[in-house]
Amino acid sequence: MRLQLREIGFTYPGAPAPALRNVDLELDTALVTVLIGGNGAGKSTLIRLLTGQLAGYSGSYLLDGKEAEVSRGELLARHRFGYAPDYPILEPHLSGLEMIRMVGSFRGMDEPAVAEALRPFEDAFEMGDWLRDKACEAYSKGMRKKVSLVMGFIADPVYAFLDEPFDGLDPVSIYNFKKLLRSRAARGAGVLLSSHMLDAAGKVGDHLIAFKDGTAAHSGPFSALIEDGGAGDLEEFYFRLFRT
Amino acid sequence: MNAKRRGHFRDPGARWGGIAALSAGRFAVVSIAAGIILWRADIYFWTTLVSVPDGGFAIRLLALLLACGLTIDFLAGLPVLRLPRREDILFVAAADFEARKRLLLAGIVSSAARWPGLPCAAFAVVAALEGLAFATAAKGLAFLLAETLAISGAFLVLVKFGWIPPSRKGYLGRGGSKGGKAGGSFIMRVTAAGLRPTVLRLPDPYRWLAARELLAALRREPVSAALYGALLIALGTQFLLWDRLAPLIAFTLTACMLTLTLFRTLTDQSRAYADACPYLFPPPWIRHRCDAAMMLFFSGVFLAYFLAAARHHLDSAAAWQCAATLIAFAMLQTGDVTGREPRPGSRMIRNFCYLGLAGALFMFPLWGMAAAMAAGLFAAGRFFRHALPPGSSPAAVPNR
Repeated sequence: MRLQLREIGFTYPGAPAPALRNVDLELDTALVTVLIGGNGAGKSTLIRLLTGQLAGYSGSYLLDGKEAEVSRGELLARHRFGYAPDYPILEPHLSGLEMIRMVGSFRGMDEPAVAEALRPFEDAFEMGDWLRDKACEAYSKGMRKKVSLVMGFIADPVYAFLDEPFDGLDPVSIYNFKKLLRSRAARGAGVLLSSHMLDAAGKVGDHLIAFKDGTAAHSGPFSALIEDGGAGDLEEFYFRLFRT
Repeated sequence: MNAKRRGHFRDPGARWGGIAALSAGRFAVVSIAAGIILWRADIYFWTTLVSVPDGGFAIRLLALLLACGLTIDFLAGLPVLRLPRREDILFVAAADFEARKRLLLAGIVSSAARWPGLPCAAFAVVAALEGLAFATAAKGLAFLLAETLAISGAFLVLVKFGWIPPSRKGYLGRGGSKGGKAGGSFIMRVTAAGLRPTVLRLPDPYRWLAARELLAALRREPVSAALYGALLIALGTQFLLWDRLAPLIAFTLTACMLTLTLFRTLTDQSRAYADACPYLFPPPWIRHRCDAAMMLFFSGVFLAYFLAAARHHLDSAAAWQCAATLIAFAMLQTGDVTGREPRPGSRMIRNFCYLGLAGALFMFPLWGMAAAMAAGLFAAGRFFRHALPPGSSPAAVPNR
């Protein structure tokens, strides 16, 4: 499946400058695409647009060549894409397990199916009794992030949008999560993830998109990046791109 | 270092603005309290209109107490007026500092929004008083009354001594004593187990739409189920005394309103969550349908009794007026539609609107009815305006 973005522009109401300017991109849903860029570069805005949380954009989207209307949340609702926001918002009085069951239920899954889908994440994120016994209002930042990520993946989406997925996770969870992303990509289920953690993102990505001033300043495979001009690694490339 | 950097920036006129805002808030509270006193006084007058064969004095005394109790109930829910607190004193002392003033205002508004425990306690007193009158009128009902009183009394003691901290953030697993943590875990397990054979058997997507709100209500105020049970017992007792306790149908009306208000208050965070994360949930109209069905479920028994009793004991016009009042209240309650951030003080404004409608209905039935219908249409209009297809209400998601 290919998601093409054509001349996408967006300005927040009242903002003096557009947050996104003429963004032309092509996303292959079988790949892990990494979105990097400075604060305010437009990474999160792009993900919010794709998940239907912002309306009033210019340009168009094509999904497998057919025009799509993403401001109605169709990518999540109809095409069953997954989504995990940068700031995980959870319902304060439910436990993490109840949140996951709830989302699974809204995606048409029964409890055994949710339990089955949850198992690899329980191992990867070392989710203990807190998932069942504690209300989400008592969770730490990392716990919230783990639950939010599981909610994004519980229905095994063909593609997922992840905004800062590594933020707040402990090193073991980051390591295991990267393995999970790679195993999903191996069976053709990729993600679009934005991250400031270049080291983690660099080790999991197939394709790199660098955002600068609301537009895609670079888009290409990681392999080309390593070979291109002796950039060496993502960090070096980042500094070279954003210093100029 | 200038005064602004030290945090002592003085905004000319802000001092008066701050105090005026506080005074205006108190004025509004006093106005509404006076409105409630006048409105609830009708309970006493009803007792003089309806013939009571025996126990008439006790019942009239009870009606008076009920009117007073409901007024106290309202006042108890407003900490600003009840007694000055640290925030209020700081508010006046620091009224010349805009940022702090806003913070303090937010603190006062949020403390007023955390009121379910207090009106519950006050209502329990009213229920107990009514129970005493029932006991006077019919001694055979002592068992039911004892149960009502025991639940109400236990609730009062628990709230009074802070053993059950209603609405306290973190009591479900973090902070507080070891006992608090264990209690939080216990509440989590018991409430989840309680819903498993009932609500969690509903079809999707209503199963978790209903369960999440019920869990929020039960966990935020763990004794709300007991209080609701006490109200049902009191209603059952009234039913057994159908012919002798006509004036107390107002109790049913109040119980219905309390149930609706309490349920909406206890589940406001759940609704706010669904508004903030529309990408997780089914379309808004499904959520709203589920919400309305739950409110009907909780208030239906009171509503049915109230309408039947009003029709039986009063003339039909009065019954219809009462019914319109109640329906207007329910409409205003459900007027908090999805897709819009609640504004500070919106609950107070809504209740004030309701009082205005109730007053208009009782004083000018025809115009009052028209006003109630207009309120209903307004609420419905707001609902349909915001109940759009999934993802089409982007304003609900703040730019984080």
